[in-house]
Amino acid sequence: MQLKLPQGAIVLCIGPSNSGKSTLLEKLIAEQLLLRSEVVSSDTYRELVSDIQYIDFSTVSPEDQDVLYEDYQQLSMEAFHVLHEVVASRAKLNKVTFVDATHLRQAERAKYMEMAKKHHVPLIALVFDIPKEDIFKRDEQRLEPRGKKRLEQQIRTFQNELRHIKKEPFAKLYIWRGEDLTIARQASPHLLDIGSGIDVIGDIHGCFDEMMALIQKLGYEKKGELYTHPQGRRLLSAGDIMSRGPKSLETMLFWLRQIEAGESFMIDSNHGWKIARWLQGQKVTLQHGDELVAQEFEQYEKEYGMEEAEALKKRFADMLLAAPSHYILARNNIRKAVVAHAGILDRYIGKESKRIRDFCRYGDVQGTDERGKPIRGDWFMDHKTSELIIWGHEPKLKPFKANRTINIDQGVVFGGQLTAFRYPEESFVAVDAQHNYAGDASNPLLEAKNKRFAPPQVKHFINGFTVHTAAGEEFAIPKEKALAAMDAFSHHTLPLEQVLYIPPTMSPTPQTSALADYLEHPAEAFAYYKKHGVTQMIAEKKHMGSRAVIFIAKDEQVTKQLLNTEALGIITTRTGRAFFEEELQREVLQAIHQELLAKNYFDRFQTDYVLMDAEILPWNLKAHGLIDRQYANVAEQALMDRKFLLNKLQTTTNIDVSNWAEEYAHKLKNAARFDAVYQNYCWPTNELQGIQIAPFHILAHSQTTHFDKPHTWHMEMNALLAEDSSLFLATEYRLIETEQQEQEAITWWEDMTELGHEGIVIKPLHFIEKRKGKLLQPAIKVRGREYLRIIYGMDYTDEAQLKALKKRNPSRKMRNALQEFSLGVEGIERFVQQESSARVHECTLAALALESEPIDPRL
Amino acid sequence: MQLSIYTKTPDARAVSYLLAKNPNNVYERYSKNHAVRFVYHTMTDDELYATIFVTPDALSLVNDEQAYDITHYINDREFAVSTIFLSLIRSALGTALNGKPKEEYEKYVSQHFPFTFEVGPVATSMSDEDIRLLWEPLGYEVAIQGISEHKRARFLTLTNSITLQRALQQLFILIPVMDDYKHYFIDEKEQERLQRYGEGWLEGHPLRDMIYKKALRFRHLLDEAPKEKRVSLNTQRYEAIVKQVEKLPHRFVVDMGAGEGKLTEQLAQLKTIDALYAIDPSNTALLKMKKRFSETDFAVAPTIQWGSLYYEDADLRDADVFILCEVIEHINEDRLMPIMTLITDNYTPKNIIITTPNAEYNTVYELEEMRHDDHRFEWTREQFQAWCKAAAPGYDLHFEGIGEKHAVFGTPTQMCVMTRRD
Repeated sequence: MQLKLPQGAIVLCIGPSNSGKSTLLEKLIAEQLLLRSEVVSSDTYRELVSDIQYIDFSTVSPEDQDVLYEDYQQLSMEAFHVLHEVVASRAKLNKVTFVDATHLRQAERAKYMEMAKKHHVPLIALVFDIPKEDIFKRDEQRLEPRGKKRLEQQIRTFQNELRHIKKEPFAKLYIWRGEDLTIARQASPHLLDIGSGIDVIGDIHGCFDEMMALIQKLGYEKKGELYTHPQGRRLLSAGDIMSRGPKSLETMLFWLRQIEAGESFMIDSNHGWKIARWLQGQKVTLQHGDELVAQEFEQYEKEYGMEEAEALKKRFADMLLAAPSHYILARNNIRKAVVAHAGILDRYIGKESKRIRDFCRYGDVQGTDERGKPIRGDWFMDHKTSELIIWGHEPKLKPFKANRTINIDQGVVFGGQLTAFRYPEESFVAVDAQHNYAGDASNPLLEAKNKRFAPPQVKHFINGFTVHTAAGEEFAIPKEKALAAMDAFSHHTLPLEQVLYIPPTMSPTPQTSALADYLEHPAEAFAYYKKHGVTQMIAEKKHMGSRAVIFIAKDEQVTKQLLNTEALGIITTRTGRAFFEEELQREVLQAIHQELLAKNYFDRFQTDYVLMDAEILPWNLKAHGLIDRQYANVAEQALMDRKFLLNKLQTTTNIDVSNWAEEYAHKLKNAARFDAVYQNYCWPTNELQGIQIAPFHILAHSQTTHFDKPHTWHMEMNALLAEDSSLFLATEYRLIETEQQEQEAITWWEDMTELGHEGIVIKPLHFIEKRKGKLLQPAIKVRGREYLRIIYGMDYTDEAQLKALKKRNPSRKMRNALQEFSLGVEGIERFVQQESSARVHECTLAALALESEPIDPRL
Repeated sequence: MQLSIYTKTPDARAVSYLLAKNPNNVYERYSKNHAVRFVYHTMTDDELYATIFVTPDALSLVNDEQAYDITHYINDREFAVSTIFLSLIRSALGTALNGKPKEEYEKYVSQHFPFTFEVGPVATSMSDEDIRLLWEPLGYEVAIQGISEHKRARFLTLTNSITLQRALQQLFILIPVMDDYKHYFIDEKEQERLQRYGEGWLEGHPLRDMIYKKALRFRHLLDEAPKEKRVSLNTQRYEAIVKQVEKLPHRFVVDMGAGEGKLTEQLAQLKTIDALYAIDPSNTALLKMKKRFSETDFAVAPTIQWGSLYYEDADLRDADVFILCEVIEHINEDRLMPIMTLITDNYTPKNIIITTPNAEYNTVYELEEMRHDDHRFEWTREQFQAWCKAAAPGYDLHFEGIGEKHAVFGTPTQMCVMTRRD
């Protein structure tokens, strides 16, 4: 007899004492067919909890027998309690466990039935049906015989139970009568080696033409009947290959050939399962486009006859029923990614059960709404393990990434796209639908488009909320901060769908300067990056103006469609407010647009829009009130106070106050420096005249974000925009790889800041730089010694003040800089993937909420 | 921040005794890390020229705990003459201010001297003319100096024949009056001091009221101009809305944009309401509302909840009455339609009550601008009615005026009651 063992299972041995259970298992262990740890025996656990394996009742008086029997009952109970825990844990871990006990009573077996169901492993029965005589014979040879009387009783119970046992819903029932027994371990039905690469295809729904176009686009070539890839890549369907669309049969035939030849793979799905049962002749209601499959079969039968049709039906059914609930893409048996049609929970991965199959087919269905449509839970929010989960089932406008999960159903049958996700490259290839085959009625893509600007839900944010990024990071925003930001979005910002990005705050050097005269110095920024192993850095000149986020589109329709406003674009401040008054914004956008058109920008980069992070100059353009109130006023008050006092002290004849005079001469010099420095950032503007824009990040184009590009690319884009431009300003920068280049950068910084320029920003060459999974500061600002007078006060360079200021601690600022950066990246990714404005808003709201934290504004 | 005193008089040395400062020493005392310094530039038998000034410690001036923006750190408090300056020099000038020199010099307390005071820098929004009007009635000849064309900082030279005590008392009251910065809290003691320092001259000053108002900031000391019209219009508006609500089914009522909750408070007196929601997007308003409600007894306690017309809240669905009292005019016109769609299509209330100013009536108020800084628009009756028709196609509309009616311009407030056609 051969016993087939899946990856994880509970195998229940059933039989009276002395029916050979332990003996058989020992033999299998000796033959190395089983591991010792795969067997748990009640005798072992009795001994473990009580030091006793067996109590002999026969040699004591009847009264004492009662006592001993009670003892035995109690220690058995404890032993089984521990044993059950062990079996349950092993089941949870998807291990094989043979339970060596008699299991003669139905209640005992039911307990395992429940346990197996809970942990999604099959329960297998191994029944020991041994002649009475053999049992008695074996008992006599035992060290502690159970006695004939007791065995007779057990055998009677066994015989009675046997017919029930046969009816109990075991996954498999084996009856052993003493013959030779071997064990066949079954390979995991879920494990699929990544090999040369896997191309996962989203829901096809009978869109055969689009599918063939996609498969060719992926580089598969026809060899005879089959499509193979020159590099040995393989196709994996995420299910729902049929129904709704025009050519289900042809599509199914394609996959049948591929799968039967072992070239391609497919997972189970809701339509697949429905059609499979229909093909088997079961009674099912064909709807939601399944009826189209039946029609195609009718046609087929007319053409090829019933016999052929039935044969084909059987092959199709076999293919669909053999499809596992999910595949695990693995490399060297290490799980890398999981493909499941409608999603999967972490604890289901690698297992198979009715519940798991249903979950993978239909997703996290939590009930139905008033229109009878399923209400779906966001199962992906619970995904904690590191495998990437690839799924389909719910059509989304663009591949939807959340929390290390990717939805690749872009609704080709609804007029969207058919998506292939290439693994391990994690890249997308897509083909547009030739038609909207499913029509406009209950079309999820149209619904998503119509609901794009639907207002976000108060309930989602009001008690605090957590942003789960595509990369699987979590950012928790507490209630008070969420409310502060929602207040701001209800009063001060532009309409929330027009706010795409809250630029992250930037930290100064983590340590203040080691040099006596300086508060900040580039050396500490270099040291920070080098400490973390970054060898390539870039230093960019920091312009002193006002931060702006510029969205500019090819034409007004694009802005209307993406931002719900009729304009060429939008320019926002770092807090999501309008940067310019309406009229001036129009003029600025017009001017930018003309320059971009002149550079053929939109065609050249094949984009409908560009989103940039920029500094707009001069400083007084936005900050004139602040400058007048604060800087000009403070400078004048200081100059007057110090000049007049100095004069009086210098002309004092009555007494010697030369030390005070000296002090005030020095102070007057500081005031003059302060007065000089802020004026560097101010010049008159008249409408467009005098306005300069220095873009430093090209954040996104319509097809992609640019976070994967090094800063040198962004600087090249800056140069491109600044070329022959009256509006865009070129930014000087230096690449830093050697110590000599560091020294040169320091000299450069010293020269420019001595002239009153703000300073430089030092960044790792790569936009997103991580070490040991942790994000490094994306940028560190190093401000000039003179510039800092307008931040820390005109006299900050005086010894006592500088000493006090050097104790500053930017750690909270650094933490916020990292979080706001990640939220910014996530929000823009979502925007580019055409997610709803509420989903983008989640990120901007979180970033603005972080900004509501009171942090020393001088940092 | 500095104050110089100059006099040319045969009794020059007597003045130094009034000041109680020894001309042979420099005076330097530290108060809260700030140096208070006094020096005689000139001291002869018939000439005195002295300056009291403060060299502040910049870092001690700021309270880091309360710093949210850069203006907290970079400001003119370090330089301009202000209440900070006065409180720091008060004890150094105590003898002169109180007129309590050593006995032998008491006779000089009431003596007039030909003084010239130099004080500054003054940070003020007042014009030179305003400054003159402040000092000239007290007999001073005023010269005003600046160091740039903007005259952001000004330096005053005040010449007068006056007692030292009176002059210093006037400086102590009028410096804060000129100073723009109003952060410095003046307590009851200060108020008492003001009465004392002002004795004998302040009552008769033609700008007495303005001086009180600016120096004290105890507004209750002055009769505030009554805002009768607005108050009564508010009340009338609330009454009109409550009357409408009473006429409609009103088990579930939403007061959207409830502000501090004044209307909600009125509505909460209706015993026939089961659920009353007071919603506002401003956290400050919600705090005030909570405080207000905690002091009131209600028939139905309102539910205070954060909410905004730019977010959706399922709790607000299917109200009997959904009220927007003086709300829409605070929203940019281009954002109104999506908001009304949210209300009519998602919240689907049975009735909507909207009130907004009637722009025509502004003529009656002789207003050339809108009634509130934050109003994005004010509509005529025709505009409002046209908008309502477009905004709520599934509703029957009923218009009414609130407030005193003018034959031509209508009422100050206009109201629309919208009832869903089912």
